[in-house]
Order: sequence, then structure tokens, then C-alpha cells
Amino acid sequence: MRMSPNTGTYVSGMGHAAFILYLIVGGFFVSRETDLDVEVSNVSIISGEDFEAMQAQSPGEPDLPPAPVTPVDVDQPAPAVEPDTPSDPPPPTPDPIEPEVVEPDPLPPEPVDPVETPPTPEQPEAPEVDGDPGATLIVPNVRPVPRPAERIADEVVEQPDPEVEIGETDQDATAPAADPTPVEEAQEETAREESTTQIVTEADEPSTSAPTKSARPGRKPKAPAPQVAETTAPSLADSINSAVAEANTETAVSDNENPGGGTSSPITRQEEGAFILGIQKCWNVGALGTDALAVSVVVGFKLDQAAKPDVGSIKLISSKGGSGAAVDKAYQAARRAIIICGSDGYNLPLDKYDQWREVQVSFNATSKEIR
Amino acid sequence: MKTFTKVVFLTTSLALAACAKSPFDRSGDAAGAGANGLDNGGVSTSALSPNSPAYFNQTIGDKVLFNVDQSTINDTARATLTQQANWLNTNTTYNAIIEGHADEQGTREYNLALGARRAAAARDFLVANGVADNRLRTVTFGKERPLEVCSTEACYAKNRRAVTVISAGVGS
Amino acid sequence: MMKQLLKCLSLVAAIGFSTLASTAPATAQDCQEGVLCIEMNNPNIEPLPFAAPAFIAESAGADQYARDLAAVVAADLQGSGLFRAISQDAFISQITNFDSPVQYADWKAINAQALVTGAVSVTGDGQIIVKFRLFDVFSENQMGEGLQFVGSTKGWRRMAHKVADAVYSRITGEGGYFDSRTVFVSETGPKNARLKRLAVMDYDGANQQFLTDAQAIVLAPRFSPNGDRVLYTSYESGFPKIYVLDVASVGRRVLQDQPGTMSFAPRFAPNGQDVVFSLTTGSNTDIYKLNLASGQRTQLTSSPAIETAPSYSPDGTQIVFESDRSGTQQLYVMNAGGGEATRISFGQGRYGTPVWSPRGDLVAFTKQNRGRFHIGVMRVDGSGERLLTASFLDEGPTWSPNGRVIMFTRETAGSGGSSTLYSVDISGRNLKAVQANASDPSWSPLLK
Repeated sequence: MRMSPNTGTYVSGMGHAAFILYLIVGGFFVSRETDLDVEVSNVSIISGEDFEAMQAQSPGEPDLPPAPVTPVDVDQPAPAVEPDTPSDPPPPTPDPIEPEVVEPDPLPPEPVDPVETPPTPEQPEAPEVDGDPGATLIVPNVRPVPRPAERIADEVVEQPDPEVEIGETDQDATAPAADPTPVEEAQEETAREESTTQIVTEADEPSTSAPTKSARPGRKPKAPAPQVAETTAPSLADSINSAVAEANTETAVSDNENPGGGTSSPITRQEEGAFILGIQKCWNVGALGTDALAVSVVVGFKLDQAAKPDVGSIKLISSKGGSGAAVDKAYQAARRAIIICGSDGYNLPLDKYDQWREVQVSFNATSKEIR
Repeated sequence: MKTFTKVVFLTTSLALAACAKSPFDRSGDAAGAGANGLDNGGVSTSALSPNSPAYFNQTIGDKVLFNVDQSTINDTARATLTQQANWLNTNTTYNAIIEGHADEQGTREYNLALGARRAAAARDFLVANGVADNRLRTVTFGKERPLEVCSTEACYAKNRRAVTVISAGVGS
Repeated sequence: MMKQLLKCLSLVAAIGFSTLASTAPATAQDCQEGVLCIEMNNPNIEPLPFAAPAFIAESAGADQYARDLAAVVAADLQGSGLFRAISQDAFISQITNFDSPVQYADWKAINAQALVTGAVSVTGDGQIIVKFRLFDVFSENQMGEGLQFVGSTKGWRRMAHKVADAVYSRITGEGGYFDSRTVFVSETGPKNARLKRLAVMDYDGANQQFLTDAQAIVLAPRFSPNGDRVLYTSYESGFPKIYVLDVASVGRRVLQDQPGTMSFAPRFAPNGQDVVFSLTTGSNTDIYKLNLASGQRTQLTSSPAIETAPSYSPDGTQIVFESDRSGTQQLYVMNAGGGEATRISFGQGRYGTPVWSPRGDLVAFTKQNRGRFHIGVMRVDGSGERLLTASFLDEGPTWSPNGRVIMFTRETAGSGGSSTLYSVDISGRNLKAVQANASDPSWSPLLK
């Protein structure tokens, strides 16, 4: 459809004119309230003491009236709260008048029990609209399993969930391949890898009819160069040999020196290893952002004679590879590990207390970095 | 001014024809199948006037096929398109929209562009064989309107196509 | 027996290793005399267990909201794959008052590492007030300030999402993404005559509504940077043309009609004023930019090859797109003003539909190789390619507002094949279906 240039220009001109006219007349982009605006404000927290005091003062009503949220709070250093005055919103936008909700046709205002709706993955005839069909709630896992206080070392590898595709071997070794493509292979790696079963949240993975392969790359599909060294492990046999040799000499040594009482002998590698594993069991970076994963932190703390950490002594000594929130979150994960796994005391020899009363742990999660 | 009116009219009618027909046009294929075998509904093939669009669709063939990720006109397509050009040159009251299609093995946007290439290749061939280019217009459907729905090469081969859809033109 | 021994040996080896490895860096940082210094570099990656007991209803008529809010918060967090909701059945203590001190021991006992408490009240004029606090159970600390949200009762889900976003952000250190929406194409009918309509929904599939009817094929909607408009391709005229639609009014107009051409693959620039798209003239498809205010159009590519699927970097200075100028579909980056482009994809197979991440560090793409499709990510210089999925047909990634999750279309094979929206964490974990009979998702920014 070639038109003479003149005609083309003409048509185009008409089009533009119409467009401009439309813009003017149509007021197309008149900005409009989108959806429901939400106001935000701080809520103060009060200390237990305050709360009790309040309870005492208002004996008649255990339930606090809306006001008490305001109270003088001791804990929070002047958060400039005031829940009563609704608008003193930190981030979000105020807008007292509730704007029209954009819900022309299907509008399910009635809170309809969102929890009930499981993902219903591949079922193609899922309800089209309305309700909240897609509510992606996965019914909470009923395995709160309080963490066993003690675990034996070699338990680092647990049985994966049955539903989870199980790699035949530890496929960690697949990592090294240099080309980007091979990742597909690495994908078969699946659950095995970290030893923890929960990692693979795709347990609920829709077993879609078509895709036969689980579309889940291993957790570290492509190993960055340095990691390769670590994972490919310079021949496992070698390392085992050397480690065994080491361990042998060590035990021998420590056995001999054990009796030494007061000026305690150095902590053996085994003891140290057990301690590391003791903390590591609880060191979970699964809920860290990618920035925080790139941070390594050194955390210091004191242990009492029962080898329980003095929570008040836990502090961030240094960090590398990030800033602000990322460092803070990485530190918090480390801190949780120390506290949680230390609640029953770590496995450390009391006769060497002077060697471990103070500890510095470097937590380096960068091998788990996502990008 | 005259040209302009004509162009507008043409464009409109083409657009209308496209809306009414092209995306859902299955009738041509069904009829085509019938014509090769038994007569369908008592209409014998001999009843087809060589000047009718039905003749164009069934006897000449309204579609040509392409290789994977290609938009070059192969020998079979060349033969079909040559006859299409002859028909169009004879029946000048008709215009045509050429639809380009791709199989499902590609991303949506790329397939749109690929379909456009195929349609343009067919169009260019017709123009080179004497059809006035203002009687032809192209449109791509990418992978949005497969002819066959299976997910094997047998179906893909039929879906990689350019379809010449005849419409009533000006001056008829 | 032998096996046992081996196991034991390898364990010892592992320990030996980690300590060996640790001596270098750990001692490098000053480790004082008398301080035991150790290094750990093998963390667990598991969802963090948390408890979100029903919120406290602080007014009449708030009971249902109290339950539902907590449920949506839990669903959001658990759905991210980074958290695991502990079943209410396991709770030892209940929260009966929003301001009571937390009984940490009871939550520790069930290994709830985070605890979300909340309260809700409704007012006579249809307002809902939602408060929440987040606690680090084992540290026995509150994490961050309590927050209060006020809005209309109709928007109760959004408030749950906002609570979940705050919790997510306080624990992960990165922004949340729950208070967001997705625009997509809703599909019905057989493969060869599929009906397609534009629709929007909350990111989790709730609150769906249609934006167009099924009269014409519609493709690949894209949100504007603030979520108020949607660009999409429609066959309304019989030919593929780009339209822009106002989400609130559902009014639409054709973007710019060029007689004799076809246009598709539109996307907004971060400034919300420029639009990049593909325009086909004859057999050639190139990328153009259109300024919405002035109507001025600029051609950005001019090779005879197919150039399509452009996507801006978040700072608006560059555009990533696909081209088959090398013979197959590959990814290229060029300046936003056009000009020379640098190829960034070099692996096997074909690469298409690149989308720049909101953080600016990654590009998500569709890869086609050896008869299978993948969604993957790579750094913007093309390094660090990782494939996150594999199936018969995956395509069209879109980023969550925080750049952590990718949603895409997965289509099944055969005559009964259909499309489903899936999402996956950029680690490749937590792959899950989001919405059936749907394609071409585009994730909005966080709502305001």
C-alpha cells in the first residue's frame, strides 16, 4: 500500500491533528486516584512495665481503649508517634478521603477467607475472575519442628522431602562448567544440595503436565570462578587423606595434652569444627535479600562457662561488601544463629574455657550469593 | 483528492474485511479439503468459476509455507504465488490482504516480526509479477492464529505460512 | 561399616577444610590473643519460620478482618519462598492484646524466629485501621517501629500486603513487592481461535478485573512507571497497533497510527513520557521512540534485521533489545538515543524479550535452545548468565518491583495447550503457578 508522499503526509497530519485534539478534549491523562489510598503512621510500643502499670491503673478494663497506643513509651526513643492523629505517615500517602475503588465489575469486598485457596497450579480451568482465585497461599507447613538442641555433626545432610526430586549424588560438582548453557544440567540438581529439606520450597511445585524437567536450577547454577575451586574440591580423596592425617595427629596430640588443666592446651581442630557446625546449623540466610547475601560480617560475643552466649555481648565487629540495611540484616541473621544454637550451650571443652570465653565468628555467605 | 478518497475507502474496506474474516478464517481450509476429495454439500468443483475467490482459495491455493525461521519463497510457494498473481491480474476488482504467520516455537514479539517478513515476501513476489501494490496489504499474526494446533513439526510446518485473503476491492 | 567410615572421614575432611580455609581471612582480621576466631562460609538457605497469629479485633465488626489480614500477611510472606508460616495449631500462646508484652519463650518453643502481631478496627464510615509490630523472637527485640495503616475496608487486602511488605523488608533488607498489581492477557478458547482480554489483578491473583472485551486479539500489556497507564498491542483495527489505556477510567486510544505499518512491543521509558516500540514497514521491523507529549517520533535502529522487544534501563539512559542482525535472535544494548549497539548474549541458542531489572543490575530474558525454552537472567554486560526455568515454552519475563522475583508465561504443548502465569525467585527457587489461562504478565511498581 504505497501512497504518494503527499497523501501520506496528509493522512498522517490528520491523524496527528485528531490525536492532539483528543488529548486536549479527551483529557485522557487526567490523573486520577488509583485504588485505595492507605495512610500509615507509627505505632509505639510500650514496655512490659508500662503495660502492667497501665493495667493496674485501669483495673476495670483489661482491654485497652484505642488511646493507650499513644502512651509514653520508654522503649522507643521518641518515635514521634501519635497513632491517634491518623496522619503522620512515614512513607505512604495520606489522603483522608477514601477514593473510589476501582472495581467496576467483579468486586469481592467481602473478605472471603483467602487462606483456603491453595495455589491450584496447573489446573487450567481455574476460575477466571473474581473472588481471589489466585490467592497464592500455600497452606502453612505443619512442621514447626522445634529445633533439636543438639545434632550430630554428620546430620548436615538430611533426607530431602519425598516429593522433591532427588539428585542421585551430590551434584555440587556440576557447578564448574564454564559455559552459561550447562546450567540446564545443573538444574537437575534439586534438593540435595544444602542438606536442608525446606530449601526447596518448590516441594509444592506444580507438576505441570508438559514440563517434565523441574524448572529449578540448583541453588548455585553457575559458580563464580572462585567458588569453583571450593566446590570442585581438589579431588575429594586428597582432601580426605590430608584431613585424616591431620585429624590423627591432632587427636593424638590433644589426648596427650588434655590433662594439662589450668593453662589449657589449644583447642583442637575437631573441637573447633564441632563448634563451627554447632553455630552453622542455625545460620540461615534464606530470608536475606541479595544485597545482604553479599555481605560478610564478623561478630564477636562472650560465652559463659556453660558455653552459652551472653546475648548482651553479641556485637558486630566488622563487615565487608555492603552497607546500611544489608549489613544490618546479615548481622541479624548471624546473631540469630549464635543465640538460637547456643541456647543450650555449645559443645566446647570446659577445661579450655579461657580459650573460648571470647569468640569472633566471621560469617561469609557470599558463596550463596544469588547473582 | 480522488486518490485520497480511494485510499481511504480502500483502507477501510480492507480493514473491515480483515476484521470480518482474516483472524478466524477457517472456511477456506475446510472447503479446500472438500474439494480435493468428495464434493462437499453437492457443490462440485467444476462449479467453481475461475474468477471466484473460492477458486482462488481452493484451486490455486491461498497459502504458501516457509521453512523454520525463514521468509524466503521456495519453489512450491513460487508456483502458487505465480498463479495467485495471474488470478489477481485477471480479477482486478479484488484486493488482497496477505497474512503472515509463525509457528509457536518462538517468542511473541519476534514471531510478529517474522510473520510480517513472510507476508512481505509474498506481497513482494505478487508485485513483482504485476499486481499493483496498492491492491495489497500485509498483516502479521505472529503465532496468534495457528492453523494446526498440535505441537509437532507436522503442525508447525503448516503454521509457518502466508495466506492471501481475497477481498472485494474498488470499482466492482 | 565401610560406608560409615567414609562418611566419617569425609566429615572430618570437611571440617579440616573449612578451618584451613578460614585461617587465611579470619586471622587476617586482627584476632586478638585469647579470642577464638572462626570462620563460617556455608550457611543454610531455608525459609525463615515465622508466626502471624490472627490480628486483634479492636472494634465491633473487625473479627473477620482480623483473621483475614493475618492470613494474607502469612500468605504473602510464605509465598515469597523466603519465609515459612508456622501453623496456628502449633501456637502455645495466643496474642490477646496488641500491647501486651510478648511471651518470647512460647514463640521460641515453636521456633518462630519472627513474630508478626497486629490489630484492626473498623469505623462507622467504612475506614479500617490496621496496626502491626514485628518481633525478633530469639533476640527478644521488636524489629523497627510498629506501623499503622488507615484506608477503606474495601482495601483491606492492600493493607495486609503493606504489612507484609514492611515485614519482608525489615528482615531481608530489600524492598517488598506484595502491594502491587499485574496486568496480563486473560485467555479462553481453543488454541487456533483463542480469545484474549486485558485484565489486571493483585500480584497474588486477587481482585481481578477485565480492561478490554474479547473482540480483538490483545497482546503484551505493559504498565507505566507509576502504574496509571497500560500500553498494549491490539488487533482492533484488523492490524496490530499499539494502544494506551488509562487504568482508572479504562479509556483507551491508539498510540500513533501509521498507515501501512504495524506496531507492537511497546514499553514506557522510566520518565513515563517516552514510549519505545517496534514498527514494521514492509518486511523490516525497527525500534522507534515516541514522545507522548510532542508526538515526535525518533527511529532508534535502522538495520534490515528484526529489532524488537526494547526495554529501558531504570535510569533511562540505555535500552536493551533483541535483534537477529547476527543471523539469530540475540540481545543488544544501545544508548537511549539509538546508535551503535553492543551484543550481550553469547551462549548457545536464541535470546529474546529482554527486560531490564528495576535494580538495574540484571537483564531477564527468554532463551530458546535445543527445543526448550528458559527464563534466565544475566548481568547487563552479558556475564553471569543463569537459567531459572526450563519447559516446553516459557517466555516474557517481568520483574517484581524489588527485582527479586520474575513472573512469566508458561505454555503447555499440544492441541489442549494453555498458558499459565508462573513466578520464580531469581535464585531459581520457589517456582509456582500464579494464574491459569493467562499470558504476558507485566508487574506494576509498588502501589502508593
